[in-house]
Amino acid sequence: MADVGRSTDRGQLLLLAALGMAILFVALALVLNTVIYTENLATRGSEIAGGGESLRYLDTARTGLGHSIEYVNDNNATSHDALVGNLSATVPVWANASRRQLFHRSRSVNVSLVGTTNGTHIDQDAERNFTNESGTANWTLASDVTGTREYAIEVNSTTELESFPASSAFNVTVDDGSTQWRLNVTENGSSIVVGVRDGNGNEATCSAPSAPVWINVTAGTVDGEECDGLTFREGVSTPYEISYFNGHNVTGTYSVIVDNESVATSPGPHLLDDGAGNPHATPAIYSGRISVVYHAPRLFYDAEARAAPGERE
Amino acid sequence: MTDRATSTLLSYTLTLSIAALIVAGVLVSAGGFVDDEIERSARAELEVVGNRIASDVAAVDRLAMADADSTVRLSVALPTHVAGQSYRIEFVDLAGSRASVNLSTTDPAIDVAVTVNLDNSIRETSLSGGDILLMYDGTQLEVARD
Repeated sequence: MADVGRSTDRGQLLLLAALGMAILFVALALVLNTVIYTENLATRGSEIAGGGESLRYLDTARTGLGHSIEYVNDNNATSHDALVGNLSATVPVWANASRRQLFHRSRSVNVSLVGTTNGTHIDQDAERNFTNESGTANWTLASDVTGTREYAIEVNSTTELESFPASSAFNVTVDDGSTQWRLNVTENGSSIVVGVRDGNGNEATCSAPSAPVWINVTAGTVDGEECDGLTFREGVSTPYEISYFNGHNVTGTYSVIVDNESVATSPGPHLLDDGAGNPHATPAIYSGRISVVYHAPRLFYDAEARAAPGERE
Repeated sequence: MTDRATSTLLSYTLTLSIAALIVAGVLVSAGGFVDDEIERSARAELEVVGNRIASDVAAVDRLAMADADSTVRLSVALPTHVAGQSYRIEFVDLAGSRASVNLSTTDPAIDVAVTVNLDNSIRETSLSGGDILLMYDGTQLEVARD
């Protein structure tokens, strides 16, 4: 018979069981550790945090291009080649500045101009009737147009305006050969009424209490207030032509940029060269495209952005 | 008098067998508890990983939206194992501009699906867990091993 009284061999079963459970719980602790690590991933922001920073950079670059286009158009706009040359020289200036700034945050960026669309700036910068340079009331500013931006009209006084409603009121007509979009300006008492009839036949009017009135045709505002129904060339397809009818029934100034460069190179017979009087045509850049490369430690983003400031979105 | 001292033997045997039973019971239940915890942990980890992948896929999709001809490459750092198990990641293109990121382990068998709204389609891919590379090359979203 075994000597059950020997104390050194007792409790072996308990010892084994304790060892087994210890191993199990150590394994559990390890597993829970990996869970803590993974849950930690969830609280950490994503490397690109929804792509926000890179998208913001793309958008900032687009805005920068827009400002650059406006700047070169306003300064020394002698020819399209000169404009493109100026723009090509301007873009790297701010692109390099932003590159240095982001370099400190482990971001490598590059912006380069990949293309431009030449256009024409048609402008009447002194108060006069909206007739052509020789005084004709019905005339075409530009034909074969596919894009129009920054189209603003200022009506200075109500003296010349026809009373609302009037069939012979001054009007801007956008015509694609089969459909017309029209905007006319009349007076009603002392207020000025802007009427719109779009290519789908919808009509709308907006009014301003007194002259002068600013009509931003492409942005759809009258005196800075949004004008419902004033949506440039709604219902009219491209290419189209922009004409003035009854231009003698209004006085003021206007400015518009269209994407047809040939108007600037041969402005006659309706328009004059820049500096020769009103209305005149000046070479302009209509729009530009940039390539943006954005490099973050885990992200590579290469995209193109187009800017045409003041274009109807 | 052949049955003398039997009770000592009997009580010893009984003590041993009852102790063995109790110990075995405790071990089995502890093992079950640990298994349950491992399964729960793995599921929690897969959900975290799945949501992380989904958010990065959505981010790449957004970047691709800004310019349809853009090139996007985003590497996503992910664990190679969840709760000590390797896992698989599967991308499924669903109808209605949606995609599903399915993650699964085999032992224990767990499936987790995270759906995400996308504007671009995603190429259906299946790969094992670990760092992945999300790409857009002007046509559709793609996933590859990083």
